[in-house]
Amino acid sequence: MSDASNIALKIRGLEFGYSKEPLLEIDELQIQKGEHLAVIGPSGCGKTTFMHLVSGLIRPQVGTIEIQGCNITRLKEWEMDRFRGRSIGVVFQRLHLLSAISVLNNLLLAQRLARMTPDKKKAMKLLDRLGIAAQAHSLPAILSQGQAQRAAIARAVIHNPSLVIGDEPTSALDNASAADAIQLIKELSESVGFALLIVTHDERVRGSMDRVLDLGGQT
Amino acid sequence: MNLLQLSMANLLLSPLSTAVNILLLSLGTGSIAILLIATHLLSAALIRDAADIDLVVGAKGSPLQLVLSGLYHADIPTGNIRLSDAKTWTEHPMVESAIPLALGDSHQGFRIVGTNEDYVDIYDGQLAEGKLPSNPLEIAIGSSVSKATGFSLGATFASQHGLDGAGHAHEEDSYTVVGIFEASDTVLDRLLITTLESVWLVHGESRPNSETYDTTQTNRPHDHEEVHAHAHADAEAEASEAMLDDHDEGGHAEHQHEDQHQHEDESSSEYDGDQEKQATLHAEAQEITVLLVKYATPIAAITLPRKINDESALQAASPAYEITRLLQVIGIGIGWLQAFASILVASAVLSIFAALYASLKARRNDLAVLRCLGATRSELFMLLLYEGLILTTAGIVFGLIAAHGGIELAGIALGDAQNFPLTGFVWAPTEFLLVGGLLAAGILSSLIPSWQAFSTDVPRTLALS
Repeated sequence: MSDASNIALKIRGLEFGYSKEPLLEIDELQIQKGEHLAVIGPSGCGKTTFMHLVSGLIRPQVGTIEIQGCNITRLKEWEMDRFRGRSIGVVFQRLHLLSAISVLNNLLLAQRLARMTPDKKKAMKLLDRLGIAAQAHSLPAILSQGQAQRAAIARAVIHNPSLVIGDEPTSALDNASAADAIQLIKELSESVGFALLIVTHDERVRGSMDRVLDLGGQT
Repeated sequence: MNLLQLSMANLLLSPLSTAVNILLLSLGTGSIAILLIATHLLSAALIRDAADIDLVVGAKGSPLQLVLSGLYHADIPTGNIRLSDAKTWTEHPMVESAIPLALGDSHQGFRIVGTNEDYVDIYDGQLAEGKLPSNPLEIAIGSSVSKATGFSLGATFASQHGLDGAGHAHEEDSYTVVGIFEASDTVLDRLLITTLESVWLVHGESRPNSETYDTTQTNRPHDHEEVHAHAHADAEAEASEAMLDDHDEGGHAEHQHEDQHQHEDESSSEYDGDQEKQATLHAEAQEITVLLVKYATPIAAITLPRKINDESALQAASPAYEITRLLQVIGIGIGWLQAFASILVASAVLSIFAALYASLKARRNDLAVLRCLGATRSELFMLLLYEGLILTTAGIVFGLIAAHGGIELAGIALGDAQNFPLTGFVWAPTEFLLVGGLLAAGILSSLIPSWQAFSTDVPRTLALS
């Protein structure tokens, strides 16, 4: 029996569709803190929609989504934005570091949007841990793909979220970089304590996760 | 790192576009600001120099010319008037005070004014050195005159006809500087003040056969009712020298007065030239150029000018009315220039809109990412609004600096000889309106891009990316 305070994500009776026919139906799903879940399925099965539902960017027609005990489906839009900033980290497929500001400022801005006091020391420590401290003051455009991926991971975890969502985070990386990125994010998950939910097609990622949710087969 | 800093960073990511937008807005802002400042300086100088003068009385002609020449010393006089004619009005019950001015000569482009102490008082003139002129051919100079000529106390010089320095020089009668005024930021700074008698003397003794002037016989008038002419001149010249020469200002004046070279008491002025070679001229035979009048009662503003214009050979002009008329005429020209500058501003504002809109299109993903990081719709709205405001504020600041700096530099380059002092260290009240209007325009230009940012469809944008 799991401790309620240890549950990072809890979904019950979730239904969502863009038409009358539901695209996505999940009766119940729980992810513990520190647990790693891969979300897989064929194209069009609703993986990205699932990710948007969990991150509160869209709302389900039916059901509840609780993150760290908070039912996000009942939050107003601006409350959800703030909750997302505080409690969720996102790693995008195309990384999407803000190009106008340095790597370090990308991290400090994430802290600011999480309504935390920007902590430069903590940010530098994290970048150092990820091996890109030397690139802290560089603009994202001059980073290699691997360095940019590490910077994106750092930005997703800098504010100690409860849940980190990855949207195909390794699809643009070679084998070595992909394995490195997954290893890194799993290590951070264990040390920081966030649950990890990765939407992926990548078998390399699937094999390294604790559990797999197949939206095509609903398992 | 906050949203304002992010806005700044976004702008710096496209430095050329940002610089061009700021430059465009600066040009428009600066052009309008220059017009506003110049108008303000002109209006302020006109009001300040008008002091307490309600009416300028002089020879018939253009009333605006009369005011410009008699009050601001920025035009040629309409002509001279007989002191006896002027005296009729100085004693009028509706007149509180009347100050006579005798104009016509200058030195290095600065006008010499024959008058009395009251004239200095209306500008609250304070002497930095020396004293007011009390004896013939003594003169006190304004601060700008002192700076431009380098004259100190005791300096002597000859005056010249007209204002352009090309007129006949009165070499025989040199003025001696006995006083230097402190700067008053009024027309007094650009004038040389002497007594009426000195002006009469210079013109009287500029004729052939003139004799030495007896300084002991000349008193500076202390009241408009005592504008006596005690200039002593050669007996032969007595009749004709009793008035100012009908010279023009640089040879172009259109003096319209009549009987300028006549004397009322010509037949009775027997002169004993062999014994003293001196004579006292009657005040009634002398001429002045204008009379600066202050009303004794507000009702005088309605009746006195009409009375003077209808019942005498003189002309009365109201500075307030004439200056309003002048500013209206100038205002038409300024209006056209402002319209042109407004087109520049409108172009700049449109350019800012275009830049923000183009930047928004290129940064849709960034905006979606910001929402994922926890930014609210309002914060995205503000992000774009900040960018518009930063561009607008920078354009305004640089435009105002250029305008004020440009006017200050022009003031330095033109020196003190100009009729209206130019300085960039002033703030025209209408500049507040300009700044407010530009900020509003900047906000307006940012509204559509800001609204687009506010409305960003995050899932769709992320899916498309």
